[in-house]
Amino acid sequence: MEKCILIYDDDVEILTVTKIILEKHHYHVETRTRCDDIIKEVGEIKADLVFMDLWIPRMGGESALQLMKQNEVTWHIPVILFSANDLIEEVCKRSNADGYLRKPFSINNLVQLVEDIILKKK
Amino acid sequence: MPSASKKSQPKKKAKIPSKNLSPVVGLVIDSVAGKEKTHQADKIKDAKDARIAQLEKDLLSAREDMRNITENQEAANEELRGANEVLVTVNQELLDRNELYNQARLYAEAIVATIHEPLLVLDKDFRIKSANPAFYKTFRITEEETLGKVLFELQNNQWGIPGLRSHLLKIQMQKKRSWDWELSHYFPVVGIRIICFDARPFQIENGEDRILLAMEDITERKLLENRNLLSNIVDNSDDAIISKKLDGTIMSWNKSAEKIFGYTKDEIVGKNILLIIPPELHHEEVMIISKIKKGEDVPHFNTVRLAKSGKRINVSVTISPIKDEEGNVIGASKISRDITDEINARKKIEESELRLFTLIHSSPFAIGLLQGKDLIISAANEAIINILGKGPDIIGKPYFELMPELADQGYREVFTEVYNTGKPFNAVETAVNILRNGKMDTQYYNFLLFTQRNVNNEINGVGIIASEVTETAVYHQKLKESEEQFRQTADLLPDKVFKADAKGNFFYLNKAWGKTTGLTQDKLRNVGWLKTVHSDDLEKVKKHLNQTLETGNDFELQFRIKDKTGNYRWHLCRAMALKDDNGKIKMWIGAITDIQEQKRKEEEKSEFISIASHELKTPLTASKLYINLLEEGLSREEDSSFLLFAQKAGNSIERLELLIKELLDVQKIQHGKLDLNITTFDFNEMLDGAIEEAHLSAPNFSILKTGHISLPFKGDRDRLQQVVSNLLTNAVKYSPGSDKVFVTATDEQGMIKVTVEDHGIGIRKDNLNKIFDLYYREEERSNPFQGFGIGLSISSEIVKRHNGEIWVESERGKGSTFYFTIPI
Repeated sequence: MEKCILIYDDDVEILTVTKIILEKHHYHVETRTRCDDIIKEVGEIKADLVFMDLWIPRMGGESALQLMKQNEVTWHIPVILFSANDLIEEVCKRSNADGYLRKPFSINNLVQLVEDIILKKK
Repeated sequence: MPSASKKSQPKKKAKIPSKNLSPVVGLVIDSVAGKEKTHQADKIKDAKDARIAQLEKDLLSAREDMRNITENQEAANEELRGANEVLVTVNQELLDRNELYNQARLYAEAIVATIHEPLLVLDKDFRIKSANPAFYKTFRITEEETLGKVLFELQNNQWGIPGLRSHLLKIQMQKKRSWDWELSHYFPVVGIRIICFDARPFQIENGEDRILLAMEDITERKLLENRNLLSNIVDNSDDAIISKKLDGTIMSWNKSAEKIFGYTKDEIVGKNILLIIPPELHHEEVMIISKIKKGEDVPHFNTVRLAKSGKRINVSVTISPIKDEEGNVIGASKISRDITDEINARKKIEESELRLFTLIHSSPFAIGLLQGKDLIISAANEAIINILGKGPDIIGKPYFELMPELADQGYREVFTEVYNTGKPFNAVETAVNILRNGKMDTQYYNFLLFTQRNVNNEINGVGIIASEVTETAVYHQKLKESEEQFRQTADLLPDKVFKADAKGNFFYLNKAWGKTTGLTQDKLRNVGWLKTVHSDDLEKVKKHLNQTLETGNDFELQFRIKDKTGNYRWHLCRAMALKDDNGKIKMWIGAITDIQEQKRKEEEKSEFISIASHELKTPLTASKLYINLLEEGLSREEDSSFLLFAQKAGNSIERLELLIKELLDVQKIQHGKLDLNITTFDFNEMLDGAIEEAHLSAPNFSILKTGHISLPFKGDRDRLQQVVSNLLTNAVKYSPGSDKVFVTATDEQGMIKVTVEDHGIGIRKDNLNKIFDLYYREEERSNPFQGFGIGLSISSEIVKRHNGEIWVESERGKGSTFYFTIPI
């Protein structure tokens, strides 16, 4: 069964190209430009992995991540932060994210990271 | 007795004794008791006191006898009254007794007459009742001229001796004896006499007062004493006193003469005076004698005499003639004083004067001495002659006639004040105008005016000591002005300016402090200002402060200060130590600038960069991914030209990514926000990674690595890889005619060292130390694809942040070698 990946980013182009790449690698991909209903969405979609942009309206990626990690239903779902922010590594550590991807990244970077996380999960 | 005198019958008989007693009643009575003591009379003159005492005693016993006799008489009278018939018998008895009295009187008179000292008996008016022959003889006066006369009027008032009357009156009043009252008086008849008086009061039987005045002529004795005194003076004089005859024979020679000339009295008396006169001065004696013969004194003169030892002695000599009773010159007395010490003292004074002269004339200070109230220049050294500018001939001229310009400046009054009060006048860095070569010249002087005094400590002049201090004075003035300017400037500044001592205590604060904090200077002084520092910053400030005070390094720190509204504002404090020649801190000067606004703008800028980087990177990310997809798709097409285009687009995207990264790094460096992410890592692995990456982007180049770093390394792995990559990229980029790059890596003495060597175009020598500057780019290297030239500047910053060093060696046309070292 295809793994489901949920991607949050306010930039539609990023969402589009990432979705194309990951679908080419046989993942089911859902995308959102806002993260206000994250708990509900993660539950409905039954996401196996979440990509979260740090600068996303309205609450911002870090707060959304915290919500997920504090929720007993969603806390176990791995989250990868991705952002152009230089401090991403620091944010990743402090918010218990499962990985980070510094923008800009290559196809290899993306696919390799997703595979690592999914395999680790198995 | 008075009762007896009232009776009529015995009147005649009673009169007998009283008549006989007068006028020498005391003396007569004296003789009654003195019968057995006639042998003592001869000795009286040698024992005057004893004699007078004896007389007194005799007088008393005579009076006692007198009373007894009177009683007998009364008894006799009773008998007469009682028995008339026995009158004749008794009368006969009385006659016998009277006879006895007469005999006694004559006897006493004989004694008095034989006494050598003059004796007088005076009544209450000091008339002479009796006198003895010694009195007449001593004072050459007759009995007629004496008896019944008032003492003071004797011999035409010769006895009007001052003080004698009051002395006698006192004795009369007090009824007390007076002993040994000595006085000297000139009697025209007998000359000067020194007389010792002894006066005693007594009463005769009818109650009348009498004075017995005994006189001893002690003139001879006193003269003898004086003679002894004179000879004592001569003996004890410090001066040699010599007398000589006119032929030069020495007559007398005192003790000091023995001491000064070495001859004893016995040796030299009778010898000639030439013995002590040096041969070449014998003519002196001839002149002296000729003057003495004329009866003239020879006033004192200084000469030389010979001592017995042959030593020549400096002496001051005074010679006077000695005359006999007729006034003929018979010799000379000579007083000589040894003045060797005086002459030596004078020599010393002359030497001291010479020293003073030398001192004045060799002194670099201007020294002048002005004599008298008119302030006449009596001494001036070269320095003051130069200052006064009136030429060298100024001695003897009145100061203010020479220097009218000084009088115009009020200095005459100053000098006069010094002269009159004796108080010195001291001036420091005082401007004085002096006319030189017709031009008024202003210079500054330190000078002292002081009084000069003569040997009697009276002011007789004014001295000047001066030194020209124009340079110092101008310097001080400028310093003062500069200090004033500093204060004014500092007060105009919006920055808070301070000066602090070596311990960091503020002693000067400008006005801005008050404006910002609303506190008074007193509250801010010392370390009071620390109370305005934000509590979160206080530890940091104190720590930095202590470090700086200890090391003397510059202080630079940002912290928040509470303003008068209670809000904290960011400030930048900079302070610098002023040190002396030994490097010891003298004081601190510093300024505290309000950077609140700057800080806010920085934050805005930093936020902007952050947003910009995000906004730039987002489309970049999408482009990069799309190009990746294109490359993947086109790689499967037969026509490979489109794949090449896609790859070129990918390369451009890569370069764009690098440029954005570098721009952001520069921004970070400029804002001090290039934070290092320090981890421990394998340096070799990092190096190999960088080489592999470089090789991928330049597959035609062979990058040859030698050496190996064995130790684990602590630092920012990504940043250091960035450095190596930058060096490799440059090496490849600037080696158009080559295909090799050499890398070495070593660790020695706690230091890793990496070199990257190329055989490329090299760098011009004058540009070698510029290439690490931000925005520097070698002109010849410029082409549209070579970036901003900021890569080396970022590398340099990264190495420095690791406490390392980076440098380059290069030769044009042969290539460059870049080095960097980092301590482990």
